[in-house]
Amino acid sequence: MVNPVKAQVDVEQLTVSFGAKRAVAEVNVSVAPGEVTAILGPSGCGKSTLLRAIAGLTEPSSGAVFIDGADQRPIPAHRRGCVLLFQDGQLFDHRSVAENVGYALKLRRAPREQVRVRVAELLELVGLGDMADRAPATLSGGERQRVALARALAAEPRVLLLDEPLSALDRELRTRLADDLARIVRDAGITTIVVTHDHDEAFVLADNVMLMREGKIVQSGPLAEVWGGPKDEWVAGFLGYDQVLDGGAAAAVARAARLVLEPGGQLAARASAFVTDASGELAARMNRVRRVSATHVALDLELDDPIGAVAAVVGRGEAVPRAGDDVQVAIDAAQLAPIG
Amino acid sequence: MKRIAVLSAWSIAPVLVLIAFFIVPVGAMMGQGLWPGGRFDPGGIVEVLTRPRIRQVIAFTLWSAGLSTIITVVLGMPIARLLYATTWPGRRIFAALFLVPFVLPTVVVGVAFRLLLSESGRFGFLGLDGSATAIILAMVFFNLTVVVRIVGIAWENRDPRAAEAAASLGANPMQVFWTVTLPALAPAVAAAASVVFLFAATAFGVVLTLGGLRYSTVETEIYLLTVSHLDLQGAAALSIVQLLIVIGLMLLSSRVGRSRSTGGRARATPRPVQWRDAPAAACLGLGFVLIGAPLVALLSRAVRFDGAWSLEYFRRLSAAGDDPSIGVSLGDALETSLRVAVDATLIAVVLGLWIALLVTRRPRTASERRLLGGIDAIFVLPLGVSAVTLGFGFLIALNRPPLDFRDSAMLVPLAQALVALPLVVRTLTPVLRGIDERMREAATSLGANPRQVLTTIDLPRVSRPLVAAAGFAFAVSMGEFGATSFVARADSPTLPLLIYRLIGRPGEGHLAMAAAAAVVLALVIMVVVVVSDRSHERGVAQW
Repeated sequence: MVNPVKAQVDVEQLTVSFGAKRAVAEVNVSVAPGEVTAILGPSGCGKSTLLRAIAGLTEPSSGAVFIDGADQRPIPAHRRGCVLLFQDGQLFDHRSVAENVGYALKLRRAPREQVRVRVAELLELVGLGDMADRAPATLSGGERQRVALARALAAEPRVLLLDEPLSALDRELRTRLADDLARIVRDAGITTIVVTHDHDEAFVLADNVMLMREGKIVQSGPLAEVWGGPKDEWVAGFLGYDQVLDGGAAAAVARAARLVLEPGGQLAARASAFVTDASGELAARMNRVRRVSATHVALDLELDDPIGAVAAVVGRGEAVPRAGDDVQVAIDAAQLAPIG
Repeated sequence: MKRIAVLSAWSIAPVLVLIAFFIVPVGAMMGQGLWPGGRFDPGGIVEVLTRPRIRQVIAFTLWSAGLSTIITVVLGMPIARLLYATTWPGRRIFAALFLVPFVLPTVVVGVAFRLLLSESGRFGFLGLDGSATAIILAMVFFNLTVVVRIVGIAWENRDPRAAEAAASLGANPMQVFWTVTLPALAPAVAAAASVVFLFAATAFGVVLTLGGLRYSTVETEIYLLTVSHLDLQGAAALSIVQLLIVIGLMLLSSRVGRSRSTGGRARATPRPVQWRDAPAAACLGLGFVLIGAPLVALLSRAVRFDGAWSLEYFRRLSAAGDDPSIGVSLGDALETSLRVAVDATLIAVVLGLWIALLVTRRPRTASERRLLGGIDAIFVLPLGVSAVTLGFGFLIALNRPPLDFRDSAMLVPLAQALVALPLVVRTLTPVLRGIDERMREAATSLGANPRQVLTTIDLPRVSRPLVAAAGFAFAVSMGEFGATSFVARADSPTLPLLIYRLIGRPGEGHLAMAAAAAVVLALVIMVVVVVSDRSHERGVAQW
């Protein structure tokens, strides 16, 4: 690999308005050199707009983007060195795969031989060494994204911007490409911002995560920290916690899990925090079974006061209880997170 | 520099060209009608419009255009279905054949119909020579292409799933057609009908060659008033009337023609032809005769002399330069036409590409949107003004400094280029608009400056349609008659003008020479169009 230029990205008080609507509202972002940060949020929260503003493709209404301390306002998109990878790759379908990858080098009038060697290297890197002469239209979705990644890396970006890079792919491909993408981006050591609505995607790719909602960053920090401490009920729900307990229920569960919870504090819990277990210390009555996927079911249980109704899972080696059964439940503290 | 300033700067040149060679001439024409003798007198127009002859002309224009539009649509729809929604051997050949009339010059068609319908012609027994029926048949001949192509492509690209849903809900094929297919095609049919009406209402060459003095449309009457009666005020008044009708029609068609966008589309596969297609096949046969018969009549008249195969008329044409009543040889007229067409094509293509690139930039601010929308709107204007009005405007406006073009060799090419310009713009803009803006952004993000985005993204996409557009511009220019008849110099007529001159001379021999010249003109145009259109299958479809 060519030694990457690791750049520091700072976004200060950035606002992007479309008419009366503020898609991005006074957002501050700071990404350290070489770090991978995920901006995570539901669709329509403004995360793609934020990314486009960093790339220089969308004009902010106010605020500024700094790269290595340099104000990017006067710098047009094509000179920022921020390469944006689109969700659907946006390959140039009138050029071959190799010509796509070599595009940025051609723009800089790199010598033909140098372009050839570099393109071959990058195609090898993304696992498409034998596809140089193919037309983009003949590639699968995953292959197209790999070509787009190679094309972006060829430009030697100071900052790599990934806009939902895996969302257009089907599940199996997504898992494989996510792995490769994470490896390649980390090996390249380029400062990277990835925008996604899928927390698995963020988890695989990123060191840090920023949660965005309605144009604002609601929480940010290292991945584990955010996951282990959702700031409020909305964040907990968005991160996949199935329920939020409060009051006496929260206190009782925390006590059973031997967690420290501030008085009056809330507790976010995944269904897998409550596991049926014959030796469990909590008693509950079974209400009904819900299928949540091909391999998992969730149980609606009524725990004894003061906890009440919760979503739970079947423990290893335990039978699925029937409605009205009395069951014992154990608590998995790793699946609980105090809010705040 | 701010983007709006850049866009404005790029707008200056085409806007200046439009002002000098369109707004000024057409404005001068209107001035003749509204300010006769230098003072404002709109009453003159009213006076012109109350003349019985003029009222008759306007009525005939609307009647003939309306009737021919109805016939064209009714005849064209079954043909469109047979050619684009079913499969059978020879379908593609027929589809190509139905494109021929569209690129033929009006005078060529006029000559062909006269030969077919004249007393000595194959269909002379019908007694249609010089009748209104002949004019309407010629209009149908021309415009069948438009309906077949626009409706056919809509039919070919229709989403079959709605029809399938209707069928699964219990609708029989007729019910499916009336309740699902026809409504889905309605925008295409409306668009085709309005274009056909527009073409028919502004037809010039066919009416002039077929109608003689008995039948005149607004368009030919403008010509006759100007050239024969020197009644400039009357001509200007009619031009204004026509301009209003055409602009009204275009506003209407831009409303009805707007197709509804749908989400994910599936494409229908053409079904094999069946017995129930027999009525459509009959329409196809009728259309085939309508298109084929005049062309056969034209060709056979041109190559037969004294009952035998002969190139006598081509020989006479080559020597026509020595005949004082004609004054120009076939070779000279062809050379003039080719030279003018090359210049006109260059102008139309450069200007058309420039305008198309400009109006397809995606506006980022409200003021950019206003600027680009305005440019887009004013460059639709040439489409709405008849060639005769433009030629007339050239004649009266471009004769004094700073726009003194009386003796300029560029006058005819400029006039023809403005006639062809909308065609070029209309061919290129859908292609450019079809480019995903994010693809340009991807290039930008990879480090391409605006010029590099243009040369690596926009131009490669537009190169093939550009060749097709150039071919059509060339064809339009070669066959252009309306504007050229005003501005060409009498001593160097183009080929269509030579043909018209020959028709006006008495004697069957001259008509046969006209046929020979028309064959030459048609062949040149066919070759150019076939060569250029191969690169862009849908060229004509933009119309």
